[in-house]
Amino acid sequence: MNTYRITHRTTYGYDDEVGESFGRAHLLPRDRPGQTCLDAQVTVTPRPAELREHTDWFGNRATYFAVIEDHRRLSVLAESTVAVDERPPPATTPPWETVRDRLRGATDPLLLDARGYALPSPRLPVHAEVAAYARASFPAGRPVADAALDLCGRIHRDFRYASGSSTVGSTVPELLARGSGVCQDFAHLAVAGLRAMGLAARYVSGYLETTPPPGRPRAVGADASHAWASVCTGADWLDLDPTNDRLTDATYVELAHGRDYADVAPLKGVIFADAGEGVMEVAVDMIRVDRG
Amino acid sequence: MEEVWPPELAALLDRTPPAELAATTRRLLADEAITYRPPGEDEQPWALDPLPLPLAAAAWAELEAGVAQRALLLDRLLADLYGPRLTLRTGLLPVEVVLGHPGYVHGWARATPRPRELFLAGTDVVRTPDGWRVLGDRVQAPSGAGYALANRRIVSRVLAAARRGAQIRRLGPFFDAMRRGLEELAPAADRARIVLLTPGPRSETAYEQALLASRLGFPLVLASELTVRDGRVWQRAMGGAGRLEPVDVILRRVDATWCDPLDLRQDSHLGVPGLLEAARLGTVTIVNGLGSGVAENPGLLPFLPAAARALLDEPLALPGAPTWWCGEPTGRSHVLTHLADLFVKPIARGDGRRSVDGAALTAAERAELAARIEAEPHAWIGQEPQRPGTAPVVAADGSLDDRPVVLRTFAVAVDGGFRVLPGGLAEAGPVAKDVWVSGATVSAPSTPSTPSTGAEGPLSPRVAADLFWLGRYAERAESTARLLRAVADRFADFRSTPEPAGGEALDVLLRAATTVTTTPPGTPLHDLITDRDLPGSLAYAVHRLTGVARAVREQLSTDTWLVLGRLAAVLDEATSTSDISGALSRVLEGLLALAGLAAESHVRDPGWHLTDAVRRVERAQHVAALVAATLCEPGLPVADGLVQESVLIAAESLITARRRRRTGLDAVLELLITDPDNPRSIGYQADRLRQDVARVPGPDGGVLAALVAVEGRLAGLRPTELARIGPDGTRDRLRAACLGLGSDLARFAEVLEGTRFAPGAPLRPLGPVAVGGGG
Repeated sequence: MNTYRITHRTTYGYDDEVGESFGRAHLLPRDRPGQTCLDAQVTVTPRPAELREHTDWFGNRATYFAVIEDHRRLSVLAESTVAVDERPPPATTPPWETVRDRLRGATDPLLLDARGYALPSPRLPVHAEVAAYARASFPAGRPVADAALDLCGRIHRDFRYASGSSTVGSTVPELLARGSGVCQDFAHLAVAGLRAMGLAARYVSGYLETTPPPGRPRAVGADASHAWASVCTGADWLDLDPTNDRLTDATYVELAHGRDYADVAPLKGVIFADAGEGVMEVAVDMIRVDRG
Repeated sequence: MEEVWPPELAALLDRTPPAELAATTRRLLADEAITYRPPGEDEQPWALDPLPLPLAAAAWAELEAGVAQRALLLDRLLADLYGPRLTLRTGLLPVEVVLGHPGYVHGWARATPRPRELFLAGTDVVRTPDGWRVLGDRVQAPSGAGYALANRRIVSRVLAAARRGAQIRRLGPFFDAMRRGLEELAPAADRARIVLLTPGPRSETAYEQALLASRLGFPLVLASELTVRDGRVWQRAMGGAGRLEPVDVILRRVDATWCDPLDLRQDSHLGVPGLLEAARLGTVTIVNGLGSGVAENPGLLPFLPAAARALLDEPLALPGAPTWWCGEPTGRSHVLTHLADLFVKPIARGDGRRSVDGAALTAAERAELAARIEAEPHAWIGQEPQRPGTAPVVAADGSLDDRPVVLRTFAVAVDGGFRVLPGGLAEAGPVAKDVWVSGATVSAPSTPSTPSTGAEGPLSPRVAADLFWLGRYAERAESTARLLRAVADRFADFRSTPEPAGGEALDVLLRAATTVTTTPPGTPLHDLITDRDLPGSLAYAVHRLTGVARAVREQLSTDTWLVLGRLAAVLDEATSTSDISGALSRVLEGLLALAGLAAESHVRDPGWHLTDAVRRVERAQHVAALVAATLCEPGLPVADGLVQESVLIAAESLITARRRRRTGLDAVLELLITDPDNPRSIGYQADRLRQDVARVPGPDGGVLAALVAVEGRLAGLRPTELARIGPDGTRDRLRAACLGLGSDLARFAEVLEGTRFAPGAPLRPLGPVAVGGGG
């Protein structure tokens, strides 16, 4: 078991007074099989007039805040301690067509919930090119986990990781055309590809522990938020990381999952302000506090 | 439709040619400025056919029961879909048809059920040879009930003789029920605060939103007038940045996805950040619920009979047009094999999906459509075309054309059930029709059904700003009309009979006409009257006046529109007539009627005092500018006399001046500047300002000091001194006094505007967090 202490600080600076800021954060890790959130809190500065948490439709911990005093700096700090267990991947999974067909009309709770993730979503509408790309990984009879891993492997090989090459608004066809992107784009492509084959897939937002180069100390704030995909195997959900071409393990911490990025954006909001430029800084630290 | 027309109507039609009825209808629609704005186009007159659609009591009773049941069913269905979701868990409804529809708002789901998901339901029906058939449900934010009310008002006047004799169900009680129903929805029982949320005066149905707000007596608000604090919704009130009034119930005309830029569409400027959060907490009731759009989904139609049995324990009374949902293998294969015989519709529009008549497609287009359906089957339905009944409408040439009729009915939640509007909005081709349901109105109205003007509740800064400009343009138009008429009369006197004094006086007045109206020197008189694009012209002021009036339509009475409509018409006449003075008199007549309405028909609320204050400032500024432009340069005595007379006419003070029998410039100046009893003098305006300001709530913010500056300057003025000619050969003291007063007054108006309704900062997205790294 790994236990992590995670701090995730987002700071906005403005060159003029902002009168009101309203925010929605998905920065508190949810519990799931193999992951327990030991403690977590969000701190907003200046002091928010309102700070409230609820569990959203997808089971995520959603935080609402409102700052209603004039400010030129807004800081949102999320701190959490999370224990993660190694989860051995399933030895065998059914053929992907079996899983696809089992979803149809299913009413058992896992599959009923999964059906909602087999549909196109606001950020991932149906695209013929995505289906065409995914199809190569799905020959008849291939076990669903193998097919999904194969898709991830192809995404890893076919696309270049290029930080800054994409924005949070990037679409999957843009990724296909550009050939490079970031983890969010790769996770979106994997999710959309799995759905194009009739499978249920979720977008997962979280963190991945990074190891510094040998002989170098870990740089503070060098970590980042991460994103990957999850596929329904018929009996469970299996998380895979197309950015790193691997199944997730105890070095991954999940924050939230949903249909696509829009459901789980770590932080979004609106402000009331006259013209003026803003800058944003994000610093994430994921430190192992206990080796299990 | 095989309805028998009421005998009174048949008799009237025998006497009056249909073209005449249509012309009267158009005139009344124009008089009341009943408009509609097709998407992406300019506002245009509402198109209404004079002939009503008659419905016999028995046929109506069948439809009424079906519509009420359907509204109840959809309400229960929505309550389940955003609550326990038993219809999904039991397989009654496929998950895909519900969650695959963009109208399903995940954030709207809530553990504790809400009292109402559906408050106002619109149902589009046609009457086929087999009976009534539902074409679709309008439950997002249904429009049309207000237009139905307007249709009735107009048609009742066009067909007054027939209407008096016929036994027709009245529409008024439905709107009383709507008001009561909204009051029932308040989370706390005592005195509910209810608002109607509008996308704004540029919305397609802005007319009816204003009509509904004033009929119901609730304020019409833009999202920018609302804010979320302490987990609940508040309305910003005039009287300081921080003044807020709580809101209990929101009847929304903004589509759900635009209602909250925090949790829904982030690019929306029509929403309130935090609205979904407040709704989740249950501190405010929003109707129709933000999730109700999913019930407009035609993919639900095949499942409604089973849903009615499961949720209501009743068979579905009103059948829908036969519909197949492609998300099911059997439905899909039926649609794909019968593409040529069906209407194929997406369950929701967008992303290039639209409804098509399969019969009208080429083979290639059909194949393409089939491929789209195969790629996303849950997003499509096929529907059997219906044969709607027809009704005669008056065509452009006055003949009667039979057109297919679609009827939108309305049901409103009240007293634990749904009550149906006896009638509705009928659409026959390009025109709307009033719907006459036979029978006596059953229930007595519980509240007076007279239309109210203005609405209870606080005066919002947005409305205040519009009233400010309304008052300003009304007074400016009136002063300008008087001035131009006085000038036009002198022009008529001396244009053809030149004489030195007359010519000199005319020169002074023509110069003053452009100076006072701040138009370029030398602008022809005709342009000053009719050029709508020339700031300062009469036409410009009238045009702006009408525009601002539209933005605060719900604050104004029907009579106001009558006056404004006529005003635009007489101004148009002025462009072509040679009798300019006569035309200006008619314009003035309209403006006086408007001032009369403001004086006699409006309660003295803060909005009235604000409008009055602005009128006073404008009038005082006008007098100051007029005197400065005309009476400071001494000329030929005869010319001076003519100019003074014209100035007194323009300032509506000639008769008083003559009655007082005091001659001399000092008497004129006293009358126009300091006289506390002349309702046209600057001094009188200052007195009124003091009274008005005391009744307009808000922080002082320098308003009183600005007024004191005006009063102080006035108190120091002596007409005899002002009339004296100074060392430079002109009345320099008079000029300085007038210019000083003008700038004091401008400063006062600026401070008043800034402290009472300065616009808030615009809404922008918080920079989103980029996801990156980890790889």
